[in-house]
Amino acid sequence: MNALRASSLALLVIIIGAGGGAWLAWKRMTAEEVNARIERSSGPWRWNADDRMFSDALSIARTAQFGPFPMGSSQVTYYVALADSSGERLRGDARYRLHGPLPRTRFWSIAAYDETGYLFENPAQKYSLSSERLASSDDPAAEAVQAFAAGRLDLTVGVPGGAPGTLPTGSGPMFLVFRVYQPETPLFPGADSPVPITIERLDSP
Amino acid sequence: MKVALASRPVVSLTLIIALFAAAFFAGYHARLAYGPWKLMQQTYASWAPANRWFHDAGEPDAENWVKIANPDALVSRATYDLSAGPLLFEGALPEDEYWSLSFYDGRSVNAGTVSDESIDGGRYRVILAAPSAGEALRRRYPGVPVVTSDTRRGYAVVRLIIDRSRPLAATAATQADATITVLTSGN
Repeated sequence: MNALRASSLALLVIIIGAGGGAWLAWKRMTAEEVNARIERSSGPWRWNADDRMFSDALSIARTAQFGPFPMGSSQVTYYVALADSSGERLRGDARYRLHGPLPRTRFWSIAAYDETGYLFENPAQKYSLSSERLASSDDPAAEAVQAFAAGRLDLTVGVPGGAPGTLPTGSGPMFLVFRVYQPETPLFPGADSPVPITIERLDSP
Repeated sequence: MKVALASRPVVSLTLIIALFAAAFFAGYHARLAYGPWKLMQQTYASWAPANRWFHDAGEPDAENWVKIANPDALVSRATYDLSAGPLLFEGALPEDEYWSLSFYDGRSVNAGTVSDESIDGGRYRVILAAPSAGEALRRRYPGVPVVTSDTRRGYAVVRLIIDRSRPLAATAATQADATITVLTSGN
C-alpha cells in the first residue's frame, strides 16, 4: 500500500513538474523580453536580429514557431509592420501612403497579409509592390514610378486595381512585410533611423 | 519497497524536490524541442519522398493558402536524407534575378545558404554532407560550395525571384532541370 502511494506521489510530482516546465517554456517563447532580445524595431517596422535566431534552444523554438526557415540577413531581411507610424493598427479597408528613401538593395518588395497571414484575394491579382515591378512598369508617368526613378519610395496601399505603385488589400486587420534582398550596409545611408519608411493613413479612421 | 515515505520525511522531501526539478527541466526542454520537431515532421510528410524537388506550380497568390507566402518568388522545396552519402545539388541559375539555395537541419536551424552571387557561370553545383565529410569534400571539389548538416535529414529550399519583364514560364524553366543526386566518384 505504501509502495502504491509512493508511486502515485512520484507520478504526480513528475506530471506537475513536466507540465510546469513546458508552461514556462511556452511563456518564455512568447514573452516580450525574449522578443526584445531577438527583435529589433524602428518606427512601425520590426525585424529579427540575425545573430539571435538560432543562438540557443529558446531562440530556435521561437523562430520555428513564429517565422520558420529564415535566411541570414546577408540574403534577406523581413521588416514587418502591424501598425502605422502613429501606432494605429493597420487595416485592410484603409488607405496608407508608404514614403521614404529607396533602400540600397538588390531587390525589395512589400506585400500585405490579413491577420491570419494570407494574401488578400483581389481581382487585379496583384499581391506585392517591388523594385522589379516599378523598374519594368509600362507607365513611366505614374507618380510612384517617377519617385522610384528619383530614388524615393512613394507607394499607396489599400487601393483597388493594378495602377503602378498601388497595392489592393481587403478588410480587417492586416500587416505588411517589407522584404529586402542582399542589402548593402547601411541600407539607408544618412537616414536618422534604421528604417525611415513612414506609413501614413490617408483616410480618416 | 517497504520503506514508507512518511517514515523518512527528510529523505522523501529531498527525493520529491529532486524528482520535481528533473521533471521540470525535462518538460521545459521537451517543449522547446517540440516546436522544431513538429515543424520538421510536417515538412518531411509534405515533401516526400526525400531528395526530390517539388516546384511551385505557378505564381504565389491568395489561393495558394500558404501562410506569409512570398508573392515575388518561385519556391522549390525538398527534404533531404544523407543516409546514402553526400548529396549533389545541380541546376540552372537565372540570368539576373536573385536565386538562393538554403538548407535547414532536423532542428529547423539554417545549416547554410548559397546564392547566385557566389557562383560563377550559368549553372550551380552545391554539395550537402555530414560534418565529418565536409573538409575532405572541400579538398576534393575545389570551388564547389560544401554545406554541412548536423542531422541526417532536413529541408532544402530554392528561392527564385520572378522576372516581371519575362513570361512566368521563362522563370519557371530555371527550376525545371534542378536535380539532387547522391554524390559518387563518378559525378
